[in-house]
Amino acid sequence: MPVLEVKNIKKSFGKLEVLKGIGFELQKGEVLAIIGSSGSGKSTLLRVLNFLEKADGGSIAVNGETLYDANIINKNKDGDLRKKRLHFGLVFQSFHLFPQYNTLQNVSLALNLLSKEKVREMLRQDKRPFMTRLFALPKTYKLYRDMLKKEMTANREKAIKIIERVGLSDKIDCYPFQLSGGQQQRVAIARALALEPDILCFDEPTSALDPELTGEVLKVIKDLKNYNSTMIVVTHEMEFAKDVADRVIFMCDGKIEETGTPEEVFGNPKSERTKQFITRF
Amino acid sequence: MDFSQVTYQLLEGFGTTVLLFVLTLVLALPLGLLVAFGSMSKFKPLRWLTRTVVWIIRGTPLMLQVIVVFYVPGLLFGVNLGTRMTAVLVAFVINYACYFSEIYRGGIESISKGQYEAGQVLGMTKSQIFFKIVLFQVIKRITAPISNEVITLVKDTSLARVIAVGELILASQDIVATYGIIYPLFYSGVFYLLFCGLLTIMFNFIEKKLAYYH
Repeated sequence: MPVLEVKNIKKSFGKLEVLKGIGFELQKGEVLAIIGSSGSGKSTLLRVLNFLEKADGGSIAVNGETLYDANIINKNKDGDLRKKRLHFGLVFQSFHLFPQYNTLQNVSLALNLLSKEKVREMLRQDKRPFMTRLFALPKTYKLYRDMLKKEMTANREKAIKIIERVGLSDKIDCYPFQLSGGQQQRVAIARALALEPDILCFDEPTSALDPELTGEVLKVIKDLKNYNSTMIVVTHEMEFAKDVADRVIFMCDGKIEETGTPEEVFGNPKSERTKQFITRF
Repeated sequence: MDFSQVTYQLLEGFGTTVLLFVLTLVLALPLGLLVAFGSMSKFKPLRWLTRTVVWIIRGTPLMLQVIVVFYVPGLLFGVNLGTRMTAVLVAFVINYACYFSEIYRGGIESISKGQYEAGQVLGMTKSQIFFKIVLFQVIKRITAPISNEVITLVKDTSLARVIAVGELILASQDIVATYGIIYPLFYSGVFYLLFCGLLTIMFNFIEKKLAYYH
């Protein structure tokens, strides 16, 4: 069963139709590179997958569970939407790290907030009579604090491990403004990884970086492949797409113009437009 | 009347000034945030209502508002607002909440959309995004304009004098009128100066504390 099934996604902004029916499947551990000129709808596609934009048509399913179907009018409550978002991770072009938090805090913030909710939810399951609960309040509070502390410690260790994986152990206490662009983007990758999304999306992860800094970020992404991460990378780095992707999609005017293995798309493109696009690089 | 008596009488007035100052801040700072949310609401009637109120409050003199709050409820509806101090406090809190709300709004709107989206894709709720990510950055950005307002408030408290609340100016004016000595006027100025100096130091400290990142 594919990890991700996207069918016939459509999206318009006013009169402008940005996505005109996009569909593809992704297997576990597969890396998909999406290439195409600006304005072809690549970024919008990622935003739709991450529920930052609502698709006008089509459906999205992860591990066989339909997360979104435009034909079914489902009132997405804030809570449901959040759970759905957790299936995906998104690394932005311009990082969007939280400036007031250091590396470790940036990576562990979302984990800690989820832990807090989890513990609170457990306490809410307490169905004893009100007076019993009232008298047990000091004990419950202690329980709450102990549980939370345990979770936070686990989160911290997890975050440290992930930061190590992106090679920033020595920058763990640094604030974003103290880091180079490449380092900031690696923190952003670690932040997305911490929640263990089923599919990790990258929206032109190196486009905001100086050329000499792109290498370190691409290396980290390439390395994630060894951990069997399923990834979608929107990129202008053709060499990288060739090197890392298992499959390449070339998008043009909101449609999939051509798809195949990197060898097929780069070596022997069938479509005239793909040929034109590739020879420009 | 000797110096210590003058000091004592001025201190009494200063006590009222400080009380008015503190209560106004404690109430207006959170109320301003509510007003800011109102003026940014997606629900149009609420947004326009809030913005109209802010326009009226910022567009008319605080002195007029103090007088209106003190006299109008009694004259029109026969409702007594309690003491003169309550009337002044109500006028001040409304007035300052409106000014604060505009500062908050500017601060909140200056935070990039990317910060919200980063929070969203990390599965955070709207309130988590606001309180854990946005608010702190807003506080850093609005410290300077807020400190401006706070220091203005110190001196605006003297407007309580128009409905005869016994604050610092009234106290010193009483002495001048009764005993014919002039220096209490300048002496009261020193109180304001010292108070504002203290606040300036405090805000500098806060700004320095928040300067650990940019």
